[in-house]
Amino acid sequence: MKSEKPKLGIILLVLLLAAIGPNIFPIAQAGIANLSKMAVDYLIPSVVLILVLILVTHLLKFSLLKRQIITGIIAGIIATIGLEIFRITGFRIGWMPGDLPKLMGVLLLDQFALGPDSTSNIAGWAYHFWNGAAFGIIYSLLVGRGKPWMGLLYGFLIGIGFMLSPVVRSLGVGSFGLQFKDGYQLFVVVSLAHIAFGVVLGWLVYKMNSGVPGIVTRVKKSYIKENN
Amino acid sequence: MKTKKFKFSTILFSALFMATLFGFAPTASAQNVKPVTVQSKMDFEETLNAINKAVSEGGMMVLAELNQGKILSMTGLQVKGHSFFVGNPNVGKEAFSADPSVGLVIPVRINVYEKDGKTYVNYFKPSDLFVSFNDKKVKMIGGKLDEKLGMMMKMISK
Repeated sequence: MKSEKPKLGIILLVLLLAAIGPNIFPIAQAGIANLSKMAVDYLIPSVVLILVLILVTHLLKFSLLKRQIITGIIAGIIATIGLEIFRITGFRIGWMPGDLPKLMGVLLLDQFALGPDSTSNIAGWAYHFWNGAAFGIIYSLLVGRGKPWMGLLYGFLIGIGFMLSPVVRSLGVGSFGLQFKDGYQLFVVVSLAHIAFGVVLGWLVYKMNSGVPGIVTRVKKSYIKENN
Repeated sequence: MKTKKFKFSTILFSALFMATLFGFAPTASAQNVKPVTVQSKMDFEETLNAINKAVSEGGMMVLAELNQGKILSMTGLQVKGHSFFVGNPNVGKEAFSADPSVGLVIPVRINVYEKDGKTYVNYFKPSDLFVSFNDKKVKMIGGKLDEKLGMMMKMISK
């Protein structure tokens, strides 16, 4: 049996790298750093390093781990489409204060004062879907196969995290969007969108990660092997 | 007869004078608008960072920045100056829906500069700038922005 330690090391590294994407936007909106600069300094290198680590798992013949990371990316991207169905609908009926992918795009290209154009929209959408992929990687690595309901809970918690983040505060709508319209519209849209994300993610990971262990199982295996 | 004529012309002249006085009053008061200036307790760079954070905590965003210091360095002048254009897309939507001409004063400008080794922040109170607009909603937004900026200045001032 191959040692779990190298795999756990790669898992930890991938988890840290995947966490970068979703965190730089709240950090920027907290006024701590510029999103455009963080994208160049941290986001792009994190994406490249994750791809390098997928190659490393392939070369080291860690096939389950490789599948786990790739499943996370694919499932996360598809789950983001599920999220978008609710987000776009919510925005179109006026239940969201803004079009977030477009906002992220102008901030990424540091052109807020000029507004969005096709280049910034591409950047914003790419970042939005990468965040979906990143959350997918994190979920897949943590749960392994998991159960579909875990995905639902995971997605809902991400939505709660978003509604408590500096992003909603900087948009002037307050935590949970209580200061937007009648105080419930943003909460409804964001919650439904992230639940949809979680449901699709949980189901896809369950289908695609058959036989793949979660991080707890891996840690237990590593502990048992060491003590034997 | 003469007295009546005199009284009438006096009244007419007074009425014209008062109308002119009140007509010019808003312009006069606009010309008297002075910026709020606050001395920062931090150095220039720290003040810029603090403004960024304070803007976010105030429920607003930095929509654009103008680094006058860097721009003027191209002329050979060494000066520290930086302006932030601060606003909130949600509030902006309300204001522009009420009166699209508010683009003249929104987003709000906050200026940071260094003089004699000390760092200062100055801005025109939004309520003073918005007084020229007739819309009640725009004036109300001006008042709210006054509060937000006031709180931000407390965070950075001595």
